[in-house]
Formats: sequence, C-alpha cells, structure tokens
Amino acid sequence: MTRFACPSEDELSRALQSAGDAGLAQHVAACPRCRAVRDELLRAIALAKALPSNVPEAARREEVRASLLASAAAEPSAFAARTSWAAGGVVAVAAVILALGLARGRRAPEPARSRVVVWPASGAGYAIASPPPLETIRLWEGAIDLDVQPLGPGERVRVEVGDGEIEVRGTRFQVAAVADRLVGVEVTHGRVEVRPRGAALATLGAGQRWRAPPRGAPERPSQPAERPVAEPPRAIAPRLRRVAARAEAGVARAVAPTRQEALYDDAWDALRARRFDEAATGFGRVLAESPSGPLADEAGFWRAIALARGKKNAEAVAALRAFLATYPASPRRGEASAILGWLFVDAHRTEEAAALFRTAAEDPHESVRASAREGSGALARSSAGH
Amino acid sequence: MSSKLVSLRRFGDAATAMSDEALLAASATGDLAALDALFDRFHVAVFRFLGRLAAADEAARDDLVQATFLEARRGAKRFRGGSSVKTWMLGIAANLARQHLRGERRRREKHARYAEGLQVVAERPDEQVERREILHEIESALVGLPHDLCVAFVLCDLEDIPGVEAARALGVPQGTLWRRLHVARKAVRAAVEKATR
Repeated sequence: MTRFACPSEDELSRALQSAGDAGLAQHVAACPRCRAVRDELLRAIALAKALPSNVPEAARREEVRASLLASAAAEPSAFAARTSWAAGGVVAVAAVILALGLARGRRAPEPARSRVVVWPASGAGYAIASPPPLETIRLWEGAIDLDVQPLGPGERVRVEVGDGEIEVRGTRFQVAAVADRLVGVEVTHGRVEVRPRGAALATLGAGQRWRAPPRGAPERPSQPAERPVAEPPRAIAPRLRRVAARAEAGVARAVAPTRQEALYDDAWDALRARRFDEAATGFGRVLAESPSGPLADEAGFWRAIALARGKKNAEAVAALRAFLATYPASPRRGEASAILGWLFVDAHRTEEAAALFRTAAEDPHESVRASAREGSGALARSSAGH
Repeated sequence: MSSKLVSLRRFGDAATAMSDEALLAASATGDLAALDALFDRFHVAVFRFLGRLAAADEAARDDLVQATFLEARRGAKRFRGGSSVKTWMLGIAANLARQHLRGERRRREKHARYAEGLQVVAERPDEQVERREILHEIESALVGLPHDLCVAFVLCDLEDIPGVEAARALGVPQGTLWRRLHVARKAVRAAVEKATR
C-alpha cells in the first residue's frame, strides 16, 4: 500500500502538530486503519472543544477590568520613568521592533505559518488534523468559517468531512456538516473546490454556494448553535445555520445568493470587522426591504447587537424592544431578553431588567440561562449594596 | 475585588490599528489606556484558557486573569517575539495557574468542585444525555491530568496554537511538549471511549 509500515499512535499524534513527513501523510491518507486511529484522536479533540469555555459576562468582565487598571495604576511601570503616551509609546514600539529584529537574527528558522483562521460556530465539532504547509481541518458537526490567506508554493489547505473534502486557494468560506456529512459550502471570496464522495465535483467562486444532494431519508437539520449572550458570536452562525437547515432540499450545484442574503452577509461582514454602524445600517436595510422575509427576525436581532456593540445603547434598547415585540416566538427571544436585561442593569432600570432575566431564564440554551442567572445575581448584589 | 475608578484615555479606533506587540510595549510604559486596550483584545482568550484548565473557582479565576495582565505588563521587556502575544500571555496564565494549584488542599477542592458540577448536571433533564456524558468524561479526564499535561492539551488542541509556538511560550523543549500532548490526548481519547462503551 505504502512505502512503510503503519506508524505508532504516538507518531500519528505528533503528526497532528508537526509539519513533517510527507510520506507519513500519504500513508495516513491511504491506510484505512491509520486514518481511523487518527480520526479517533481528532474526534476526541473535537469533542473536548465543545466543553464550556467560561467566557465571562459583561458585568464580571468590567469588574475585572476596573480592578486590573486600579492595580496597574498603583504600581510602577516596567520602565523607570513614566512618559507620555506619545513619547513612551514611540520609544517602546521602537524598542520592541529593535528587540524583535535582534531576536529574529538569533532564532532558528521559523516554522511554516498557518494560513488559516478558523471561526467555529458554537458547538461545532472540528479539529486541526495537520499543520502547515499541508493544513487539514477535520469537521464532523456544525459550521466553521475559514479565512485562508493566499497560499504559497507547496502550501495546501483542505477541510475534510466524512463524505468529502474541500480544497482551498486563498479565500474566505464557510462549511457546514451534519453527522459527519458535508451539507453546505458557501464562498465569500476566492475559489474553493468541493469534492463530495459519490457526487459531482464543484468549483465555487465568490458568492456561490454548494448544497448536498438529497438522500433517501430526510436529513435532520443541525441543532441551532448556542450563542454566548454578552459577546455576539462570529459571523458564521446565522448563515450556516441556514445552510444546514436547508440541506434537505439542496442539490449539488452552485447558486447565487438572493439580494436579501447578500445584504445580510455584507452586514455580517461589517459586524465581524467591528464596523458596527455599517452593520446596523445593513441589517436595517434587510429589515426595510423585506420586513416579513425569512431573514427579517435574524436581521432585527443582529441589528440590535450591532447597535449595542457600537455603544449606542439607547438605540440598541429600542431595537431589542422592537425585536421582542415583533417576533415574540423567535428562538432568540431569551437571548434578546438577556441582552436587554444587561443594558437595563447598566442603566439602573432594575425592575425591567429583572423581568427580562426571568424570561431569559426559561430559554432552552444553557448559555442564555447562565447569563440570566448572572444578571439576576448582579441585581441582587446591587440591591444588597444599597 | 477593588472597584476603584481609574480615569484613562481610551485609544478608540487607534487601538485597533496597533499591533499586539505595540500595545504590549505601550502598556509597559505605564500607559493604562494601552493596558485597557490589551485587555479588550485578549481577555476572552485568557478567561477561556483558565476556564478550560479548571484551575480555580470563578473568583480566583478573575484574580488570575487580572494577575496575567499585570504580569504581562511587568514582563513586557522579556517578550522576544518567539510566539504571538496571545500565546505568550497564555503561557503566563498557565504558570500563574500552576502556582495557584500548588498544594494538596487546593487540588482536593478542585476535585470536589468538579464532583458538585457533576451532580448538578446529572439531575438536569436533557435529551443530549450521551453527549453530556462524553463531555463530562472528558472534563473529568482533564481535571485528573497533571497541570502541565492539561496546559499542553488546552493550548495546542483547544486553542489551536502550533506546538512549536506553545513550547516557546511555556519555555519547554518541543519534545517535552509533544510527550505531554500525546499523554493528554490518550487520556481524552480514553475518556471518550469510556463514555461511549
């Protein structure tokens, strides 16, 4: 089969992190036994990624920030004399640049740098299967968004799913899988090649999408991704949730997004780039052009989030209220309630905040319930303090 | 935790244009706005990392996060660019967490906390029982691992930091990191097998 015997599990494990032996990579690709061992390791890693990550709620984070800055103010800086930012910063930056230059001169050659940034949707099951220059990301479940820088000679980036793979050439795209089956690919820019097993190969360009062909039995849509409440998640979640949900009716072809989807995606790009005003305007356009369209509730929610992230709290409050009034049955009701509750905490509107946290406490998602508990706790502490 | 108010000038848009290294260097000059911006940029990663190490309860974790940023500010001149600033800071957090965990009493508390968590979850009805069982087996395996092994696994496999960079940040030879990582992976894989048997 290959030129050498099967590697040990130790060697397979090491190959996940060290760029290395092309022969070993070829062997693993061709040997079902080694591939299975490697997949078991990767599967365990992917499952471990799904452990709760304990990212703090806004109130706790701000408490830590305040304490950090107070402590820092009370101790001398790392430099003997304090200088103004302009002078000190320039000097320090110059020092760092110099230090970096000197350090680089002494160091061993740098290992190949990764060309990929993976933005997982909450609950996505994935693992890095091989490092650069032949980077492979193994995906089982959920959605991931990938930013791939232009590749150099000899560099490759692939995403593997149980029944196919995607080869990338410097692009940004999203991949969704359900139960280790590839269900959708969507390209923001650049080109990717989709190689599903048992279906036609497809090459996608910017704005094009691929959907899995229908199977005999209807597919179960993926679970909606859980989202942290205080921090909006990465851009992929809403789009890819749609990809997974619509996979049943999909066909193996590339289709252009609708105008609403394009507007929505642009707004998401702006939100991810922290251009909050532009994002809020973009989601607002989706709402204005199609107030009862399939993306309206999502657009309403994310418009409010963009406003909140842009520190336009009064407008965010109004937007969240409008969202809750217009889409009372939205699956994001609990999440929106929790966020609005926190905004009211900040505004010292404790009674309204408490009512919203009670609503959020009924949400099916643990992250939302946890946020509601935190909020109620913050209110209780606040009232005890008075 | 102190709630003393500190006045500082926010960087605003300027901070987003600054490199991580520049922010770190600026914070070392005593500029609180730079430290604030550094906190904005990395607090999620540091909280998440310490949370995954299960190294402390929430209050202690907050203190560890704060200590990580203070130590980064104090030690900025030691940063040589052998890894990204984020990885370097996670290395600091790992060392602080190790110090925190020293002592059998704390270790016992850690296990007790975990057992409490298990009881709470076991009582909660949920259709995804099997998945939860797997996750709790994994969590149990990670809690039971020696600190350095857990750090290697969290850094490389959960935070997706390349092994070479992680080894530099932790100040250990690459071979040591590989060994720790492999032992940790075997433990996690065994936990998954146990839960799915």
